[in-house]
Amino acid sequence: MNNALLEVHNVTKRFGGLTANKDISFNISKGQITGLIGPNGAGKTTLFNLITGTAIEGYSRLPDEGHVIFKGNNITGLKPNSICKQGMVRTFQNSRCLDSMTALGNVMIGALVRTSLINDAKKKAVKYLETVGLKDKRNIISSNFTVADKKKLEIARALATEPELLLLDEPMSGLTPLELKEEVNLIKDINQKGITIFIIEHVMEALMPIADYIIVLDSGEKIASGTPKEVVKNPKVIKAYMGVDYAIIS
Amino acid sequence: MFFLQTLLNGFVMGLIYALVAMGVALVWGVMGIINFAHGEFLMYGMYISFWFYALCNFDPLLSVPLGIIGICLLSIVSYKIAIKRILGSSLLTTLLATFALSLILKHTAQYLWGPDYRIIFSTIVQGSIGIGNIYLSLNKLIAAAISSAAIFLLYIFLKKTEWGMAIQAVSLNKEASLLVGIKVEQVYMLTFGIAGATAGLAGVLFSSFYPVSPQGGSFLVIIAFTCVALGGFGSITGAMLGGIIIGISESLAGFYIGPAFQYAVVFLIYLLVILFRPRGLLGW
Amino acid sequence: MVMVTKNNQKNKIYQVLIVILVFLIPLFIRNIFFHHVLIMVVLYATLGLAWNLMGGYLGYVSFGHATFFGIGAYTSAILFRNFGVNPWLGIIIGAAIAVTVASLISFPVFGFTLRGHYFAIGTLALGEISRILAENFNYIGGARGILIPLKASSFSIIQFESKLPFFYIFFTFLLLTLLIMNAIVNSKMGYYLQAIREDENVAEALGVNTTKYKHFAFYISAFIVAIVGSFYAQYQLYIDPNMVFGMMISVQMALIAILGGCNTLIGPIIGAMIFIPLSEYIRSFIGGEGRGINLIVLGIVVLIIILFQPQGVAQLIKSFINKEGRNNE
Repeated sequence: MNNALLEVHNVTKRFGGLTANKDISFNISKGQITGLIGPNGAGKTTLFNLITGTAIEGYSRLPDEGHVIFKGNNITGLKPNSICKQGMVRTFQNSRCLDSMTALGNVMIGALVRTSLINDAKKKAVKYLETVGLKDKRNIISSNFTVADKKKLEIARALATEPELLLLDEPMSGLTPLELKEEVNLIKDINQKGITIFIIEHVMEALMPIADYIIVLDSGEKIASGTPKEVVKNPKVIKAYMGVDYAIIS
Repeated sequence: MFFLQTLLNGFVMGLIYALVAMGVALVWGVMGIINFAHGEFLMYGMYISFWFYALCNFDPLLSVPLGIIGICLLSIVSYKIAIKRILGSSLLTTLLATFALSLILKHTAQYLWGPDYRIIFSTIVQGSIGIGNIYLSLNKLIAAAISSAAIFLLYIFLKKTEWGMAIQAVSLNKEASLLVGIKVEQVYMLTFGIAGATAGLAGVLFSSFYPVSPQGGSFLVIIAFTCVALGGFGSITGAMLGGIIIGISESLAGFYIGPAFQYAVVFLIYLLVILFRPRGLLGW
Repeated sequence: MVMVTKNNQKNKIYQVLIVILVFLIPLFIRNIFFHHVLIMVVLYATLGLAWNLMGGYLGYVSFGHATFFGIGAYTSAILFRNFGVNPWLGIIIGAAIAVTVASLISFPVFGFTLRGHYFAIGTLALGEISRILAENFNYIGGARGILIPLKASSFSIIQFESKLPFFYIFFTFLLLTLLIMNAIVNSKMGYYLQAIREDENVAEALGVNTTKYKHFAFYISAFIVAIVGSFYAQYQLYIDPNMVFGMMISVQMALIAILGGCNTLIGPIIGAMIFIPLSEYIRSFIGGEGRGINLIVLGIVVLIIILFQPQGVAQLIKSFINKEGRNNE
């Protein structure tokens, strides 16, 4: 397991009486696509927040117990910007664009982590916009984008930070079948370029075919992990989802 | 003994501040607007009381209903002319628009009645009442009592009546309220009118022991904002709490540190509280 | 590409022409009151630019910037009056003190954990605290204020018989501030500030050290505002706590920025060009009776502008220029 890019050790987080994450441990292997699934309220986004040090409204960013190691360094409790500089970046569930800025501006913010020169950042931004297919729309104010384009913009922006580990929070939600296909191909492309990917997702038919490894959360606990085929047959997982038809998976 | 005296004085003033603060909090909570002109509404309430006193020999207590109705009307007119248009605008826009409104109201008062201070000298209720070693100004006590009654009525209105619950609904979720058929536009107007009414009432109450002048509202509104921010924007109860705390702080600071720095201390206390509870004591 | 370059060159020529024009205007219109208005426009334009770095670009609306204005004014005034310190030096010292105070406020004491309305009211409280402290600080004259003695008409002590030299010094500083702001806005910091304004959490997730940049913006704006305060003191030769620490100064900075358009670089300048002459001329024509009609009129005008063009006048001009540009193509 020396290939572990990210190690999560016994992470626990309580919000008052609710234990959102309980003693969760797993590793993310370098170069893989790992999926994080579980019913709503299982604590997936909380886990993402804890790993990336994202501020949680009204509560501390730190896990109550446990620690997170990235590339061999303990990053528990570090602020998101430090973690980003070390090579881990996340997207947000509801596609938070920097509304009044153009697509180019949005992606430049990402690029500016790695360079201080505006022209440099601009060139890089255009390149990443091209990767997601938004190059032609780069001068449009991002608040005008469709949901699908906003998701692409989020990814371009995250890519511009030149991450080794990319955390995607429900990138497939709200997409039409055609958009889904595009999104899945994009993710595969990114992975093939060497970026490790960790995805929270509900759209199983999109996630299962591309994931190398799956972690399942339910009510704050990790109940299963393994390859998609293993996880799908796991009785605990089936019980948690209560009747979701996994026969779709080939 | 002095401590208790000062404390109680502060508490009494605090109840009146609470009324003012709740008007501000109501508008903020329901409409998302910080109304800089609220102080001027209050000031006009003071003038209503003064002029009825000077011209018709009304005791301020008699002017209570006049102040309530008068400023309620004033605020509804302001709503129709100006406030309606800035709903949903950025923080900066609403602050500056209401600031411009306050400027207009303040200087209109100054133009009409001059900048001098007017004082209501003889009221039906006078002097102080003594309980043991403690003396409380009767005027202020009655004002606090009326204020408390108004606060109580406001609570009942918000919690128990249909319109009151509509107001609560809009403050929690405007879109959802629209969806269930609440006439949001009317709720806004009602809210602003109620806020005006509370300001008018507070103004009349203040006039019995506070000098009346066009500048009277400006400082009080900053105190009101501080009360609301202390209690937490969005919480009416918080505003009330904030009012009482500020009233007590002002009184204690005034006694132990001196009237000069009284308000500096009040603001300092506000900043300290807000440091540890960035959303105010009860806000969200 | 050729079209763009031509436009850029044209723009630069226009800009230089305007600057030259402004330099020449006071030489041709020799009305003293007009010169006074020009000076106030320039001072407030500078204040607006500095305020807008925080208010417009960073998105943190401050109603307490008068604190730094007053610190600048009183520092240079006291140093000159009581200790004979050269005002140019006094200006730098005043600005340094202002930044120190800003750092005390922002680091972790104020914490910048305040946002939006809480920040606005908090800075308002701070401004009022400064004013009250100044009113009760007898060494600096308390509520009575202080007079700056007129020693000689000389550049080295920033005192002049005519108003013109004041105007040129202040205008030069305005240009300097404009250049600084332009540099910032088109730099990494500029982009980062806007990102923070749009969504602080997203900005942080993308590697922006939000704390650092918030503090920077705060210090820079405090620094410039303090310098303008010192200039103001040297020009007026009399200051009191209400004049330099009062809420009106803080609010006017914001007003000017929004009137002109707080999302553009020159917005505050345009705002000052509209608001200050309006304020000064209304006051001189109507205000004489002391009844404050001028402020009623001013309030109405401001209200109308804010209600009907909340994006500011600069936006109007921009759209107008854009339309013209398209017509010419």
